[in-house]
Amino acid sequence: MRVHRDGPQVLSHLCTDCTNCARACPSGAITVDVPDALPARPTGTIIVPVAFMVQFGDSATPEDVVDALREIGFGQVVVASAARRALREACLEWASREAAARPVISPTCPAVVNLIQVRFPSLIPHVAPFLPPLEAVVHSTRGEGWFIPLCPAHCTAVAGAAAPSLRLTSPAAVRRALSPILARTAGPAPAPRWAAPPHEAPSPDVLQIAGMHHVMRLLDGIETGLYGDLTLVEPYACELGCFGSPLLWEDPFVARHRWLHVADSFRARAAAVPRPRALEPREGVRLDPDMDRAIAKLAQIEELARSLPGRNCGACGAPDCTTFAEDVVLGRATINGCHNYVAPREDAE
Amino acid sequence: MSRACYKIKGGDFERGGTAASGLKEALKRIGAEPAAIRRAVIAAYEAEMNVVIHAHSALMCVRMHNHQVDVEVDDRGPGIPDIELAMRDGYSTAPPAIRELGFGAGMGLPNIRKNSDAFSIESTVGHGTRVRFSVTMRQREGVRW
Repeated sequence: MRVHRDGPQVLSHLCTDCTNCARACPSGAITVDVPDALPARPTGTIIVPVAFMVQFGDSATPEDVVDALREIGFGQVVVASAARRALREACLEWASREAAARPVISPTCPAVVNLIQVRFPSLIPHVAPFLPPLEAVVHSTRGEGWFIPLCPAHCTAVAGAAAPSLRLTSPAAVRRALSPILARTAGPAPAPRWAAPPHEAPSPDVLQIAGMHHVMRLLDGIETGLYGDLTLVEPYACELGCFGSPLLWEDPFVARHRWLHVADSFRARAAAVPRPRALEPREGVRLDPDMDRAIAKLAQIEELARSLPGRNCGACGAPDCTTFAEDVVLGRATINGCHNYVAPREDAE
Repeated sequence: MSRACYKIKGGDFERGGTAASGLKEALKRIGAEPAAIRRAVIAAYEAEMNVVIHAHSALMCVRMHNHQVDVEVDDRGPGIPDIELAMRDGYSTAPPAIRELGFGAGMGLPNIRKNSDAFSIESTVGHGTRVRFSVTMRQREGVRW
């Protein structure tokens, strides 16, 4: 990302849709845009992520949310819990049967899959060859109906799933539609019962890790040959997975706690969907497709960086001087962008 | 030809490994094949940790040209009296406190030699040690843009 006078600019070849920028921006200049449209009487199927079901306080159970969705007109409500369970089981089976590369990485978070394609392409063989849960559900409903995404990675992934009649609506729009009904139907909080189902419970075979800082450190370690003792890793870009989505409003820990109480009631089964096309590396940080040219560019960047002030003041919009040097060499910026640049004299003194 | 240098501070276990990480980032940026990156980074990491464990300070300089990475780690430190002994698997002069941290198992120099295509080491007791190694880089395939 670069921060210029007229606003932030995302470098799309490096962006993984992780939404960390939106969360980090102190002025709120970066927002996650999801279509808000929801007709007054929607019909058909709606695909709902698990985290959405527990956003409505302790007196509105997930069953109440399903009923409310039906009341506003949806004929079928598909909660992604079965797809999550199916994916974990498929990943464990894959890890035991075929995968040479340990640990196996679950594709459960599409932003982390993007991260691997952009920054850790050597780990693509570790990623179990299935679709993430929401994409799997979209696939199984043949792309018909409505879908509540929790991040731009969901939107991008679903757009790539070639589902032209699938329509997106934001969690906020659905909340506005459901709130009057839930206020009316709210009952006493259900008696707590602890029944964390196998696919949500801690397991010795599965490491759940969340937050880009932790995930990147783990992926770096796997690249170095560490963590081969782990069977399966489920990495999430957001804190506590989708419960930490910036589009939701309940505290992620509270929401997850509620879900673990009731998750067992959603007992539908599903099958994991194999990925139709293998994952490909993306351009990422690579300076040039040709190594010799890339080395030459790296040399130019190093030379230019040596003549920059090295104070990392950020006035050019880049986070540090070396990155600005890269911007200049790759043509993303001109040297005039550095207010403190003094061209080196031809005759060195 | 690309040339970059990283400072290494003896005894700084907190930052031990940052030079090798810098090398890894650079190798990703030139598009080197993952297997070659791993070898180069393991060798660089071992060389860096040798400095952190045994020496006062060092400069790690990395040159890249013609699909090859040359790394030179030039340290100021006690030096190595018997290089042949130091190159033996498992031989270590690391003090007990360092071994308790999990370092100094005696595989550092052998690992550098194993993970590189050319390796040389010279040392002067009371002055320092210079380790040099090279790794040939093949290009990572599968990227079109």
